[in-house]
Amino acid sequence: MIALVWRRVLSSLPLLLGVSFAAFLILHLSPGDPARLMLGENATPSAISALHRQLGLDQPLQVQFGLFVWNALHGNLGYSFRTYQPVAAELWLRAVATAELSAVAFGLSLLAGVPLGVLTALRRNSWVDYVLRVVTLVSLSTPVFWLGIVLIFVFAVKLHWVPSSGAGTPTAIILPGLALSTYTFGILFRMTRTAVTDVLHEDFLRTAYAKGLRRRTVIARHALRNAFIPILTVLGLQFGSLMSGAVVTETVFAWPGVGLYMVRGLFARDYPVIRGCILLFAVSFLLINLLVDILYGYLDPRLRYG
Amino acid sequence: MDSPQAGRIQAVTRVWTTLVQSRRHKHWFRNGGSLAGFTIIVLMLACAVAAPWIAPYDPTNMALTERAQGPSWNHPLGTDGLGRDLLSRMLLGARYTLGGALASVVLGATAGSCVGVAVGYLGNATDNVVMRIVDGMLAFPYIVVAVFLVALLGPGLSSAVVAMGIASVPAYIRLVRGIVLGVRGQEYVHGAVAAGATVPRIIWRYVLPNVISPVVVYASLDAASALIRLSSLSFIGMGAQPPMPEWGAMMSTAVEWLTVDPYMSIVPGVAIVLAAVAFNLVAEGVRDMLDPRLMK
Repeated sequence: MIALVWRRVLSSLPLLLGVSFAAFLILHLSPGDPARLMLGENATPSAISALHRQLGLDQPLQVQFGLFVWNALHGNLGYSFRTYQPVAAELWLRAVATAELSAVAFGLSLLAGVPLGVLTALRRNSWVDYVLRVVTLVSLSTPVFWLGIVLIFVFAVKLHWVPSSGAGTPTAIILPGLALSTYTFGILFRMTRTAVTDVLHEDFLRTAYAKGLRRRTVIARHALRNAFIPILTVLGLQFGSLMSGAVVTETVFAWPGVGLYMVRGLFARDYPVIRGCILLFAVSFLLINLLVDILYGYLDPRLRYG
Repeated sequence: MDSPQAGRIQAVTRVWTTLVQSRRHKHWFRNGGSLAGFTIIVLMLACAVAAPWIAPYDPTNMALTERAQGPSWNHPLGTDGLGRDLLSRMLLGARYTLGGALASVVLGATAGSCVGVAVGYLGNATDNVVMRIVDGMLAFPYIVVAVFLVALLGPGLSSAVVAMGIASVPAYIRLVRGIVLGVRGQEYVHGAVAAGATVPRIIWRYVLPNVISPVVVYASLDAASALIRLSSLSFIGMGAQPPMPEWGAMMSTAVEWLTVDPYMSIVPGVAIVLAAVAFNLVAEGVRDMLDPRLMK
């Protein structure tokens, strides 16, 4: 088990390095001199070269990258061009908000998608199955921003039940969480339905029935445990689209998370902010995939030795 | 890494031959949902092509006295915040939204197929390296790629389309490489090599014909999410910029009028959902056709 963990950690390191380099390069490939961007059009040449020295921009590229990695490992992601605040501290605050939002969305889709998926797999082609398949089709076809706007219009503008944007009150998370959860719900529901249906035809389930186990035990212990492997894969892969969805959701609801920070930074051409956000998204993506791989090993003993 | 995308890819590859042999595509037209989806897409594409001739107004023409109106005889879908006719803008917008989504799919499929053929047919060492990267990138959030490109190129429809194309490349590389590895071992390829065919000729004559159909099928499964992603990018301002009547960009300006005239947001929103449902229905038909277990 520990060997599996190490193998996965080591194989994700090159990718992490690659993404870090790409993020690092943003500042260098983008048009314009960052020092001029910070100091404004009227800056004197001496002030600009002083800032170059201060930011390390006069160093060779590989030295700069080394410095960037070294600083990032020590929790320093540079300073915002706009506010001059440290990016890492701001990211930390916002990561919590994004994590809250994603957790609510993920929890909602998990709570709804998996049980309903199991239910419809056990009652294929019933009316529940049919209705839920239509609901899923629509939920997979609805962009999160459109759903967000509908929710804002109905529950905030018309009914005044919840605030339309921001994170001021405890109820503010309900609408963005709901909007973000629908796509993942659709995917999870479908995947659970297929996975459970597939498992139901397996020989080991017939064996379990034959040795006299109750239906509930067969489903819970034998069917679901095996169905969870493909479901888990989807969870891991969905994390990427959940992140993308979170960026859009945060923009619609003005939720103060990493996504909103990144989009605002992008339009302000605040490159240290963009760089930090990309890095954070990439690292969390890799970490989640690592976690999924490890959980695999736990669920499927065959994968522990490979 | 075993993944559902890989599973989907395997399914597409495995079943494709049986599909062609058994003429299962007849089944597809018996599937009412797919047919409906297909009809909607064809109609929307027809509108997109014919937009300049069938649009009742100039989509950029502002009439400030008629702004933010609901539907009427003069303006069947109402007007936007600057008094522009919504129907005309929707018709022209179909070009950008559907065209952009399809362009990104074509881009990803073409680039991914080229790399996939190259690493599958030629690569040993390169194959190993490329596939490692592909595995890691397979579900990488497209929005991160988009942010990267927009930071470099500036926001715009083309930045968004290219970003989405790049983000979808890894899946195609994986699909195509698998097929090519299978084809490379076939006797007719060995025969061609023995007969002295050059590598480009073998690829053109024997490998590509095997690759194209599965790629088209996979691309059809991807079209709906491409549409949603493109309009999302435009909505948050990273894709098409106003006044371009891309549906997502139209939504982002309409939202400012939400309390005054919600109708303005409903029109492009419904169009996006309808188009995505249509693409998904077609994709489901294709998938059902490919999966013999689901056939009755």
